[in-house]
Amino acid sequence: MDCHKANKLLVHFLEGDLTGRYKEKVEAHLKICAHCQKERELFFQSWQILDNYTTPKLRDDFTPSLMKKIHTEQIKNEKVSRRLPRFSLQNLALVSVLLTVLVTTFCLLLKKPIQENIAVRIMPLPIKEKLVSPLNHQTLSGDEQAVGYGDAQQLVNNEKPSTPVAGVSLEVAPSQPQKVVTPEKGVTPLRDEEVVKNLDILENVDFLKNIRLLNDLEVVENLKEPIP
Amino acid sequence: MDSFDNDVQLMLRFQDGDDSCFEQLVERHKNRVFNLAYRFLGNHEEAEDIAQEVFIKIYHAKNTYKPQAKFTTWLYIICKNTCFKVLRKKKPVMVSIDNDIRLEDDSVPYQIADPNAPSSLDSMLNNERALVVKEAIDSLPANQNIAVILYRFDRLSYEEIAQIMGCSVTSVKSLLHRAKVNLKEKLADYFKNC
Repeated sequence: MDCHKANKLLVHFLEGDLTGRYKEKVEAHLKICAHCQKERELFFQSWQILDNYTTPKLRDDFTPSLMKKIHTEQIKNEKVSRRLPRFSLQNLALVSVLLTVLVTTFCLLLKKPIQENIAVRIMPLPIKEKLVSPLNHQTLSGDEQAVGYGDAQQLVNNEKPSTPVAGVSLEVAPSQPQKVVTPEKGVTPLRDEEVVKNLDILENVDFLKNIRLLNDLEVVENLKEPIP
Repeated sequence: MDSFDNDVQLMLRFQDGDDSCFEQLVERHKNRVFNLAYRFLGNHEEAEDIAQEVFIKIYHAKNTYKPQAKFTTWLYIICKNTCFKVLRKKKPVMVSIDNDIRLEDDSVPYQIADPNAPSSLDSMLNNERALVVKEAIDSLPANQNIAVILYRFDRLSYEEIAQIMGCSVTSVKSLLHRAKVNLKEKLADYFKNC
């Protein structure tokens, strides 16, 4: 056996794990090899010197201090567990209030654009002026104005508006005899395109009439009976 | 009464609500746990903290404890796991080489000589040897370190060490083999100079 093989088996030999042929071979080699004898000595000393590894002493009050720490933690955990349901209920109430407020705000915000859309669909003043001004240069009575463009064709044909249409915010004049506006000479009648365009608007207005929200508009409430 | 049975009995009585049994267990095993933690980490304060943490875990685990093995095996497993957890969290301490090492002047307390105490030279040699051994053991990889501590200092068998470390007996032998080779290489220079 050479030194290389003997060194590999040396630790097992020292631990007593080697048996039979291998044990004999290592023993025989150690008898004649000074280098391997030194290695064996080093292994032995490095293992024995571990006895010098002393540990410091643990403090005397370790156990009482430990028990105190455990009891303090227990009291702390009990307090936390008591607070937890109350905290959860409060938290839950707060969250539900916040959610309610958010939902209400959201609904209100949604309502506003719808109302605005409806208001836009109802005749804006510039268009109204277009219709009115070609008919005559006379000012319409309050009722006529309030009626607005109920029926553009009717107005063009000097007919009374059959159905009052909401949307035009006007002051309603006190009851006055309704005049039928007749186009005078020299007044340029509405062009057909404009009439059609206004009719489109009116159709929408008619449609909107049926919408419940129109009832909320103050103008509708102030409209008088249409011109007979 | 066999201490193995005694530990299990104490633990079972503690499960039933007798806290004094837990205190008895602490008194019986506190040094074992502290020594293992100290040899593994090399720090006194950390070792005390770990010892406390181990027993607090045992306290809180009383309802889940089942006497399937020796109480000390269970104790060692908890201690080993706690030590490994601390080691993982530990970061290397950075020390500036530009800092001066200051010695306190006129601060040596008055001492009364103890006739039975070793001589100052012997103390110095012992301290030096202890330091060398400590450094050698601290330089071992964690698995080899714990195997050496459990085998060499706590005198546990290969089977018990295998159970604690969660590996086979062959693995334990292999770890110890490599640890011995490493220790020999680390301490060879020290023995040459002696």
